[in-house]
Amino acid sequence: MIRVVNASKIYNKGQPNQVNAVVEANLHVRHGEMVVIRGPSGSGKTSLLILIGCIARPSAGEIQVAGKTISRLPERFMTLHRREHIGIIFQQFNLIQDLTVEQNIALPLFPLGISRGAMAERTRQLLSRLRMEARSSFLVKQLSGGEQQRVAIARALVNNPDILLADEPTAHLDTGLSKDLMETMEVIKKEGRTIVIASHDPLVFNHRSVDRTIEMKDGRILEG
Amino acid sequence: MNREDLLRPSACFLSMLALLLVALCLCYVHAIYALSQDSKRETLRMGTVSVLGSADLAINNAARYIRHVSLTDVSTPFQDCPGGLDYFPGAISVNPPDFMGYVTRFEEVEP
Amino acid sequence: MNRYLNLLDFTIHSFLRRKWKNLFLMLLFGYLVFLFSSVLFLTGAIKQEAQRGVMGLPDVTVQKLTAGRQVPAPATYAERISEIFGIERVDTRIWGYYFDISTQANYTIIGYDPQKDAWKDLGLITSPAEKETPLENGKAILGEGIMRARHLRLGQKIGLYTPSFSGRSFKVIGTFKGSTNLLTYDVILLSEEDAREVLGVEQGLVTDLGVYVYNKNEVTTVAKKITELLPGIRVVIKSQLGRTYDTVYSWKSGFILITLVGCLLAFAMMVWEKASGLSAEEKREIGILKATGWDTSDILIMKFWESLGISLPSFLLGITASYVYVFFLGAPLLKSMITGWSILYPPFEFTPVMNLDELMVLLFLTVIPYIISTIIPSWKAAIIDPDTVIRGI
Repeated sequence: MIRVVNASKIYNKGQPNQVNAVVEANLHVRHGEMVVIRGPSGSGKTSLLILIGCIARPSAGEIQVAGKTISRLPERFMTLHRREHIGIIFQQFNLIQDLTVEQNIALPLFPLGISRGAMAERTRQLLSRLRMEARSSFLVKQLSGGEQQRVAIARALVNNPDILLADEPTAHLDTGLSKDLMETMEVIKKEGRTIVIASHDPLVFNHRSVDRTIEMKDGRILEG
Repeated sequence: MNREDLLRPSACFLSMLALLLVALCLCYVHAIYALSQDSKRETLRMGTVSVLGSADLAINNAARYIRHVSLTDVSTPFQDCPGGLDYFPGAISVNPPDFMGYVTRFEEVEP
Repeated sequence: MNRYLNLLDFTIHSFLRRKWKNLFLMLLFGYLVFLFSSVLFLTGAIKQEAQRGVMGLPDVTVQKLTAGRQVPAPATYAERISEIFGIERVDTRIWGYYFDISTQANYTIIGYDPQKDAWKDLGLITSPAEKETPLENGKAILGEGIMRARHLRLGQKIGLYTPSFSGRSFKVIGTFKGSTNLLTYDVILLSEEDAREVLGVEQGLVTDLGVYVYNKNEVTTVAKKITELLPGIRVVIKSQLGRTYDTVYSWKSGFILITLVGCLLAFAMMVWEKASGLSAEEKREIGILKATGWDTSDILIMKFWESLGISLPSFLLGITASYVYVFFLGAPLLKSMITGWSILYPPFEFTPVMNLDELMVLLFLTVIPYIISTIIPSWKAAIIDPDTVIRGI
């Protein structure tokens, strides 16, 4: 499902503040797997997720997602590919605070040519699934951390993606909510989706639903 | 198209835009209609102009060089009467005297 | 279609998030358009009134000049001009200005040949006894403004002084209809003989001459011949008068528009500030949209809707409001600025006129720059990697 071949990502190349975020990474994630990338802060977990999520292009190497070599696609096609196959939960949630829960969840649907009724139906299903119906017309800034996390998950799932990426999903949650989150992830995995999570939280990488854990340090994937 | 579609924000916005466009078109139609209705006045206007010999508009009669702009000589201030106001820029900022307050009925007087 | 409507839905949600700021922007925009279009409508209407009157004028007006100023011309000029080929007729005209000390107003006195009765077709308001009477000596037809200023009624007398300070009184036998106020408000129509006496134009002299030409394409040629025939004269052709009217009201409206340039500059500064870059918040939002599957064209469409949603309704509202203001409410305040100060200020209504060319120019000067000023910075933000924006948080 996901294949990373000698991928590197360099920020500010050639400048004094150059950062080698990912260095010659190789990774293969099979369909339906849940893989956790663990490592200390600054090890390149987020950068690797961003490359897999087609949000940025690698400086070297290749990324193949769902059968396509996305690293070579023009920007427009990368966006389309991301839209169709990938859902992302960001560490900071990256929700638009002044929009409602419903509007934030529907965000990926607006550029599609689907009818308003279909948009509303998909959003309603996710609100129900994540037990957020009562909050649907609340502004995001009025929600707690856990609720915002659920909105972020709903938004990531609204396009019915094959692949779900999550960057430190438990960073702003307490233990109880973190457990809830992993239960949700397990359910999502059982739906046949491939999940890659970047986290240094033991609650995440020790969860029963995780198939594999990968260690990263200084931008490199460690063997084992 | 169901009720939900009709009430969506874009539908409301486009309806408002359409209404404004219609209002503007109505103004345009009104202008054309008013011009066409003006034909009676046109005959009277032409007749008046040929009797008077001048088409100058009587809206600046404080100074003769303004009243008959087309038939006069080089404009200079104060040439009309002693103490006459300099036309510009006073004309923009000073109100004319109000004779409109006098109620005058134009009745036909019996001989 | 759904895609565009969905993006429009999102844009409206965004609009409502900052609704007071956006409403203020719309009001400002609309007000600016209102001001400019009001001036354009009013000027257009006055110019139209003036231009339509031009049609009834003589083809050529002949004046005598001495030391660069107009002086009475010999009446014999009429015969000499009539000999030029192509001339239909030559009218001699007695007219002039009369300063009335009591009202401090200038009246326009026009002498009319009592043998002619064309004035009867003007539907004047007269007393029944005077309906069929010619405009003989001792009688006057007054404009409504003079009737009001001097508190006169039909049948009463108006007193005028001659240059030798002797007083003459004239019986008011009629007044011009209110619908001709723009032309007649300050006019006194007298018989030619009376007009001569009041204005001090000696026998054998006339104020000027009106020449009518058979072939309207030959007017310039005839005018040239008249100039060559008579020394020390000035000829004014009808088309020149039309251009003069245009110039007079154009410079006035131009002057007012220049004073409005201050508003336009303030607006331009606002637009420039918008164009020079998006705020960090706006950039972040674009980054989020891109990260969630929006591509550059989706963002640009949204921004286009955003700017159109503010500028176009404001523009349409401004134009419509200015039309109502000028042609239904009579343009209070603005009318006096365009028409100017006057002792005898005629009440009048304009025939509505809407010049689509001018409106299109206004559209290109307001709506289009505003849209461009929104699209450009959005495009700059939309083409950067969303990762750069997201990581910045």
